[in-house]
Amino acid sequence: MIAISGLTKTIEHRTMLAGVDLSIDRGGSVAVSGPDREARSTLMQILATLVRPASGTIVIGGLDAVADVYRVRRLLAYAGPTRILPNRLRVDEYLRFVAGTRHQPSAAADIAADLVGLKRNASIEAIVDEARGRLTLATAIASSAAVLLLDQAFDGLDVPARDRVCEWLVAARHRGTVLVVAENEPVAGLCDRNVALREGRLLETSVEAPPDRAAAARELVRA
Amino acid sequence: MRAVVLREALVAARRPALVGAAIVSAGLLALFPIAWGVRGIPTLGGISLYDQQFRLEWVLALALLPWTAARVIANERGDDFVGLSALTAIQPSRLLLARLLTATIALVAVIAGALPVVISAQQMSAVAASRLVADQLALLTFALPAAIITVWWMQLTTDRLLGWLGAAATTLIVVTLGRLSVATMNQAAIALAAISVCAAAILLARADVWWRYLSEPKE
Repeated sequence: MIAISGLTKTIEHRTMLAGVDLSIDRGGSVAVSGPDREARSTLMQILATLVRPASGTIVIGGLDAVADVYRVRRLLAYAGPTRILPNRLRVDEYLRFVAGTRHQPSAAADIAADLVGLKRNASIEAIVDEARGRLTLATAIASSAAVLLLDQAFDGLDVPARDRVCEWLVAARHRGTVLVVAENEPVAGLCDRNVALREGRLLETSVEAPPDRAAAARELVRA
Repeated sequence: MRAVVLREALVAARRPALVGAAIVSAGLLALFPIAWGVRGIPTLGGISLYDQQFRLEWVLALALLPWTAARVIANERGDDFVGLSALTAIQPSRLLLARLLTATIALVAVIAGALPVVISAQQMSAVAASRLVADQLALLTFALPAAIITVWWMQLTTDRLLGWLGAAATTLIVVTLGRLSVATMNQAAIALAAISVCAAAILLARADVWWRYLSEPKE
């Protein structure tokens, strides 16, 4: 589903990525950790087609992510440190708009709001910055994209919301969704692979999902 | 595309500027005969109340339409606009097209809001209905260039105030140039609409390149 080869990026004379290679199959998941948050974000933004790589190739769903940006974006949903402007809209209106552009039913928007613990009728203007982070995560969930890119997306979540979202994400993986999660520390039980980004390169170690969360996810899939 | 148009329309409808501009426009036009009577301003060479009010309508359109468009369109510009394209998986050109359509409709609503007042002036001045229709259609056509100029400016500047001032100045300049080039204001409005459609086509053609990626600091 995702194949990255020889990816490099330099920003303001600083090497963020120095030849990143990564391959993820359908339904696969990778947790990207490491001390350099900026470099992780750069990798995630390149995967989200928001930033152009200096060199290397990225193929997502069989499409070249540089040559075919707009078709690739239909496969992706990115939740990261991007701004959401209120525009006098409510949470449900915004999420339904996102779901609508992705040809998803309104129910997907309502489920996303409930998962991250946002009041549906709350004004975006009124919710604090932390909750806007939750709204970004909710947009990714509402879009039901084939590839979910989550960059520090769990920061604003309380424990119950974090558990609900993790269970939903594991269930999504079982439906074939690809998950790439960038966090300071890997979220336990969420991803089946763990890679660390150090000095612009990815170092890989495998992680198994704990059985309890995997079982809960299977229950969700059956439901 | 439908979802984007609906969202832009919802954003525009929620802005107090839309209703405010419609009230100011209709209110000032309604005050005109109250202030000057059925003959209008005596020093304006004996032209009818309707003609005098139509001039005022143009002045109000020049002053209010760029401001209204700048206030009612959604806030995403620059990197926020790129983010919106990624979030919705919709090309920037289509997002802009929706924005242009919504802005034009909002401006048409502002002009149309004053129609009852204009019709009463036409009745008081015994002007032919065909003239009223032609004048108002020309003015409604002017909503298109006003919307396109403002959306252009709002996309190119990060500051809303600067965008509005730029749009207002550009609108004034192109209307003045248009009026100097052709015989009547109605012809000028139609010529400006045709030119602005070309300008919109250029903006839409380049949008997918200009707003493809987030801006990066210069090396």
